[in-house]
Amino acid sequence: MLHRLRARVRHGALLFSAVSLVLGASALFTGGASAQDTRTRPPPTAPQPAQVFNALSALAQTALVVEGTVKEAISEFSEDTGPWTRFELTEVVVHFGEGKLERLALAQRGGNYPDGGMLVVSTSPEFVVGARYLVFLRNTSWNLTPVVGDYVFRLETEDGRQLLVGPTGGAVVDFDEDGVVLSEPLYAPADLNGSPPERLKEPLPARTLDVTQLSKGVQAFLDAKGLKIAGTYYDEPATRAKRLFVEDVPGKPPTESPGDDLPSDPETRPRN
Amino acid sequence: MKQPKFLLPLSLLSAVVLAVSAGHAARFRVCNGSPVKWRGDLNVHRNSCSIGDSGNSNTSYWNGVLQWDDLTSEVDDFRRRPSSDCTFDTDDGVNEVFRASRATLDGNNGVTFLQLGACFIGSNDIDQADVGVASDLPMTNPSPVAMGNEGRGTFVHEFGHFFGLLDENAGHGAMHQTPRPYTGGNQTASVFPTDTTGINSMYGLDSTRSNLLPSAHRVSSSTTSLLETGTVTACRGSSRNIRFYLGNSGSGGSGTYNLRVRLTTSSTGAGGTTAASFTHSLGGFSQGVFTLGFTVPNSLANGTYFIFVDMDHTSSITEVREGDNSTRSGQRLSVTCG
Repeated sequence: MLHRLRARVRHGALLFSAVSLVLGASALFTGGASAQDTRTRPPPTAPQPAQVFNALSALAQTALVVEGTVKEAISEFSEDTGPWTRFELTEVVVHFGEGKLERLALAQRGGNYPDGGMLVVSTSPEFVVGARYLVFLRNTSWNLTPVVGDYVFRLETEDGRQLLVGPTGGAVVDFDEDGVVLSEPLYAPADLNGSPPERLKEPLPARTLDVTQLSKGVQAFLDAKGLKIAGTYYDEPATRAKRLFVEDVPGKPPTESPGDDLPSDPETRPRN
Repeated sequence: MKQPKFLLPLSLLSAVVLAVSAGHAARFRVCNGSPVKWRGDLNVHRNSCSIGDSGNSNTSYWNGVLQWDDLTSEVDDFRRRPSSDCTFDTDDGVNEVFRASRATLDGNNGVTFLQLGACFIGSNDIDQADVGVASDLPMTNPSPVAMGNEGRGTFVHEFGHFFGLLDENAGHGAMHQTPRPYTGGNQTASVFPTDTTGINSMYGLDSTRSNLLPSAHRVSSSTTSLLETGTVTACRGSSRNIRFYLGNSGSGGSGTYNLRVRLTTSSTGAGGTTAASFTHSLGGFSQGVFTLGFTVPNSLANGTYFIFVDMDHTSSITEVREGDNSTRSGQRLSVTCG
């Protein structure tokens, strides 16, 4: 695949980053190591991230539920970290959690390479600069994104109704023990050329939840369980390193991975 | 999912051809309206430090990639990273597939990293992809009525991302969030018409054949559930209905095929007694939930029976993939009377 990477670099060097376009022309580059002095990295004792599979597992890992407008997307790149993007949220309203914030920084792995290419991570939300979001932020350590699972919703208005559009394009229609329930997709994925997400022909569901209604549902769930949104939001990951360790096969001794530079061996695909 | 359809027994109607919905298409990224996908040579590297050369994780890896690549033949070469390489790097030019701790993956079952070219004029490509699956997931073949986390379905899902598909919250398919639907057989974690419609839009399918597969699950918006659950008591000679999802993940119509409901005490589907037979057909990429009527055979001994559906049990059509034509319902039948 080395030739693919080289091909990307060749073409990419001539082109402006498409993610910058998606995220808005305000995307800026900074050095990867700069401007991190004031950021909070999780200590080794911070809770580890766990799977989000229902309302309880989501809310138990949530430190903050905030609403904010993505004012800016700042690309941060270094050879050691690869691309990261820091989203600056303004006009922040804290719905759950401690603190009175007006601005919030949300950094996540992925974004622009200096040559014009981009890294996307399947579990990281794609923010549109200028759009307003409701975001659930982790109270655990993290490596990829501080967002709790799929709990990030773009605010849209249609027929006078506020919609909360999830990462797969559906609107929030309910909140129950299983967590947020989304409708069939109402919006297509954003074109990487910067066009906004296109509204599909799917009719608006009869019932949708707005921020107030979802917040009430969350609060009712918390009350019923005797829980509260709590913990510390870390705006920096445990590590920004792009090279990470995989899990060893049981029985194999830990290794410093001396084989990184060795070539791969061919193997034969099994027959059906 | 569309409204349930009724199939009529063979004894009442020799051929039932129902118009069912074409599959909802899995979504993918676009650049200027063109799919963001692999173009040119593609190699996949298995990280053998975390995915052994044999065993269930190895089988899960191969099922994950071949569920897609058997349809499109996009992969040119498969390769194995040396076992001393116990890292991954999203920027090293190697398309690496590995298992990692759940914490490394932010608590997710799986994560796929895609390096894309620039989108400026025309289309753009996937230049590198790395797939990680949580190492604490069980890697055995999931039960056809499973409702939870497991590794094989995660591999299939992440390889969908590898080829460019996005997460789904609609449609009966592998790209749906967990829990996901399963079929039956030796590889219950499978692609469905929703997935193959999407991958066909991106790459085209090699074959114009059909591929029939049933499921005990239904997907309604963001929720996956079993169509039937529990154990119900029934007397010999009584009439019952059972619902199954039936799909055709191939691009070609099936033509008329035979379908049956079978009752057996074996959870794996061995043996048993046919309770009803039908003829049926499904168009390319079609799917639906069907209600099948049957009569509890008078010959059944007292006992608890699994309810199986067998699509094309007479092997009258040639399919893209065999071995995925039967599955069992989440409901069991306790026969104690009649």
